[in-house]
Amino acid sequence: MTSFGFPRDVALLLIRAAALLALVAAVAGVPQPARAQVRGEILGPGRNRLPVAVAELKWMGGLVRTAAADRFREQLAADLEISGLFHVIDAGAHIEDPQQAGITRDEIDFDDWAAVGALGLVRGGYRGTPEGLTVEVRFFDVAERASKGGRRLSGETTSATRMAHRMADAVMEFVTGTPGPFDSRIAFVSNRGDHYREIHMYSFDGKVERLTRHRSVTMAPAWHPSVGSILFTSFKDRHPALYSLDLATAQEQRLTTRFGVNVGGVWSPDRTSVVLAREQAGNTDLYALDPGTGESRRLTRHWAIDVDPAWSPDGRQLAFCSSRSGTPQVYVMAAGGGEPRRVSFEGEYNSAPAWSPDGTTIAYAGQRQGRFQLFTVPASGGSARQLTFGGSNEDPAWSPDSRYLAFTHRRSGKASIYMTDVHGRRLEQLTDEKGDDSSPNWSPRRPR
Amino acid sequence: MKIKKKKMFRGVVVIAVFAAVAVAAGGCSTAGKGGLFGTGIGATRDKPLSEEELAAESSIKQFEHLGTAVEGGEFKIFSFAFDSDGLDEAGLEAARHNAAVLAARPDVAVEIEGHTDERGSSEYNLALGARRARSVRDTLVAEGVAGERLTTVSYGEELPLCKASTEECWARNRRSRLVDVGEASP
Repeated sequence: MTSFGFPRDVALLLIRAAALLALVAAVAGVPQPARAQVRGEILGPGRNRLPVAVAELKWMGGLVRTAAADRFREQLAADLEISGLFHVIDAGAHIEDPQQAGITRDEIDFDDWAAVGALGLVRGGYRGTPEGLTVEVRFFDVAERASKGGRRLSGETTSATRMAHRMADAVMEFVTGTPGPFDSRIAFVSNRGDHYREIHMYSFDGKVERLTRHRSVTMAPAWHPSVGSILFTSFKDRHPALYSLDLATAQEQRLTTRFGVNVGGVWSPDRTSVVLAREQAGNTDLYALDPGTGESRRLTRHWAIDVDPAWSPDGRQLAFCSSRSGTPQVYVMAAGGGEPRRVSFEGEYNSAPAWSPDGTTIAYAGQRQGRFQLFTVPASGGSARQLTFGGSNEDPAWSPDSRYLAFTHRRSGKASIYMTDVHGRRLEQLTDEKGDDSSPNWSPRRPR
Repeated sequence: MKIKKKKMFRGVVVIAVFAAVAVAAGGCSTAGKGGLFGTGIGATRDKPLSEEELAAESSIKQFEHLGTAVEGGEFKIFSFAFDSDGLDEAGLEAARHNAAVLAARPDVAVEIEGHTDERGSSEYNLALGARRARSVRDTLVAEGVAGERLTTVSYGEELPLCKASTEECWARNRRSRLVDVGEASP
């Protein structure tokens, strides 16, 4: 979508540079230098946040849906803020009257937006329909006075926040070339409501839904690539077995029949098999299960514990945790099995690997000074980088855009789901403290 | 040796276990020899029960009505070091004690539970709990207990006795215990 002719991250910096240079030129009355001084700076969450204004939606006809339109704007602003890419300017500071001014390039007074410090402007309107509303929103470069992209979205009033998530993802795409992660959900384990651990689901409007009610122990949720169902392990039939919960029908299907531990099931990217950890006589190894036939194939054969399988997005490799070196460490091997390659080297306990959807990076939780912290390491090998430092942090789960990690944050005996960007610059608490929340698994973007 | 299991009984034991944990989750005030589970289901509590807990409580009542009891109190708890399934001298002593109890009660079959503390991945801990239960099973068999009387289950880090993130609490949670699950008949 971008018209800058530069890599997208650099392009945004040039917006900033252009605005700055325009200001410098205006103040000093000198010709602009030929090159901006932005080399080496890379835009990322938590750094170089772009000041944007998210204008109130203009009513463009049809039914008046002020409440839904306001929910849309507020959620869109919240998503952009939490992304760490933007600083959303307080709506109270806006000068332009959103119900009077137009929503297209030629109808907008960009000086009014530049005056409040906005370099980006999210501007749009809606028509109220009998079912809900149709929203049309554009993202403008204020300095350049140009539209960088737009979307028209329709939905019921109750889906105003979901439309906002999709718009936020689009705005992130207009600016960086990669859509955002907000039209997705995070499955996790929580004992909120009562003392039993059940599977719950978080959406970025803050809503938490309980998905199971087994009154037992439930753990290790993992999304199907279609976002239509969730794999998990439950003790509801007394021994830990693998189940699939269909979200549309609320039907559960048991996938494993053997006694003993069955845990950590993850769908292959091609959706044909499930890799899980299975115990036999006390020893746990990885197996590939064909859910259609119920047949399984053993992938590892070692006296040590092998658990926590995670697929590479191309389906060719598996990351997992094994204690074969004497301590739990992260390894990578071919998806069909074979000699593993060790990926984590520092520390006495590294576990719960998660492979980024873009394929480049493996995140894991490692113990340092008695607490767990998140680390990333290039999937091709290399040195690890620590992302978190306070409290104890486990269970990393990648966002669909590979920009963020959701994880379990423990502090003072409480556990909540947090998210951080891949550089560890910003920390956001996602779930409230109504229970102990753990084991997040971030869904792919939802299908339209 | 053939084992006649009381399925109803087993189900109720599970409910009782979860109910006990539910009570424990309300506070770490439950004490007793070998911890809460070691004393069976007679957990003390210092908070009013929630509706959910009251529902669980009624399951315990139903269980008592059957005229049976969890005989966990006779068995000693096994403790473990972090990320270990090995039994130290106290663990071997507990094995000898428990083997003697089982020898005196040849009609009893037990399930060996393996538990871990909260640290580390929950999946790794489920596997570690299985390894601890297996380690206890192998030791009991070496002490002369018939393997047919012993089954294992891992609960990993899912059923902690106490929930503080302290060394003391973690040590309590790293455990294995025996649960009477029914009758073994010749």
